[in-house]
Amino acid sequence: MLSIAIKSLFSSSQSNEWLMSRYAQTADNRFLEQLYDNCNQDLYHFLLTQSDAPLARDICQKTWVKVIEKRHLYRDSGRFSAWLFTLARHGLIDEYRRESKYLAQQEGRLNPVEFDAGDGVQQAFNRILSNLPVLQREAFCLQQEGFGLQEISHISGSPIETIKSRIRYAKATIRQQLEKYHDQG
Amino acid sequence: MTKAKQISETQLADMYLARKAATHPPSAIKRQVLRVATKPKVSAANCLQRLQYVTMALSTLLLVGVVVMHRDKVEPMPSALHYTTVELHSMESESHNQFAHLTVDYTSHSKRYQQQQAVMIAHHNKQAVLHRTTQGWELQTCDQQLLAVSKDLIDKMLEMKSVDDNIKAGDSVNIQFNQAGMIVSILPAKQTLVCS
Repeated sequence: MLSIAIKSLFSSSQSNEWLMSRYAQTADNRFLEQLYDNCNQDLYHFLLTQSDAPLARDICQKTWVKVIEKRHLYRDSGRFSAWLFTLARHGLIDEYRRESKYLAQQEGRLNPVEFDAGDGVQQAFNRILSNLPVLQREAFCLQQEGFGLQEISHISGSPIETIKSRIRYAKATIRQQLEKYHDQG
Repeated sequence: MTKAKQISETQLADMYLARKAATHPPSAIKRQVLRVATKPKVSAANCLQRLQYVTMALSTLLLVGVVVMHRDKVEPMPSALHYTTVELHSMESESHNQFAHLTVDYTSHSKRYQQQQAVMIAHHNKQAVLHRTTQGWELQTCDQQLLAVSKDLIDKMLEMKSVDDNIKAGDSVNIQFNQAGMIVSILPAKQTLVCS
């Protein structure tokens, strides 16, 4: 009974906010591990969508290290995942700025997507998503991750109306490109 | 209705989730993160605690140093308890005084000072520092020996001019003994006694 009770303390049924608060108070790595298991898939995928595999791995790791180092700064007034993605985004932008890539990416125009003959609709979607301008892609992905407009605005540091526009354009582009894909097929 | 609108929000979300499900973060990330998490950290609390320990240790060392230095500067009050041997030199054949409970070598000068001078020939001498007490003099040597000289003996020796009446407490003196160990004279030493 006791072991079940103890195990339940670390089960995924506990909210991420509760886990992070406990981790910040106790520095017990079991809470950190549970947080990692709950959130890392989403985080890594977001970073992979915004960059390439090596950079995504690097930023993902650094983000969790920041969670460890800055756990005393966590305030449970907001969602843990929003804080996590904010840390990750800052890390990614810092890396891009170091490599002078950020501005070029922001100003990237939408190029026509070339579909391969063997592409299924999922592969088509993946190509389309990767081809979106970075800020539209970011806004779309954050919305798909379950963040509200307010949260996306906070994570990306942009006004809500700007976020709405980016999401709208991103969806419109994805739909148009998928339509093109269907027409080709 | 355009075909673009046929792709619903739900379909977009499904495609996004399918894309995510096909993505697997490298397991090395977790290993590295947990390695960092388990590494002992120097937190502010730890630093403060270490600083407290160091401060306490330094304070203790400083205190010990001050005590040692202070003790070296203070001239210790002579007391038989600090000495390995105490000699009583008195005119009386027995002496009941503060050293009675100690094992002492008692040298009675009671009759001999009144007798022939021959026994007063110096055989050996010692240097000591003079301290005055109500009972007489105490002569403190470097080899942890205390020679207590009773007042009546001092008076006798002053009479016999075998003691310099100008010497005062704290002076280094030269004590001459005869072969029998009786004090023959107490005179000022030419050099200040410095025990090594």
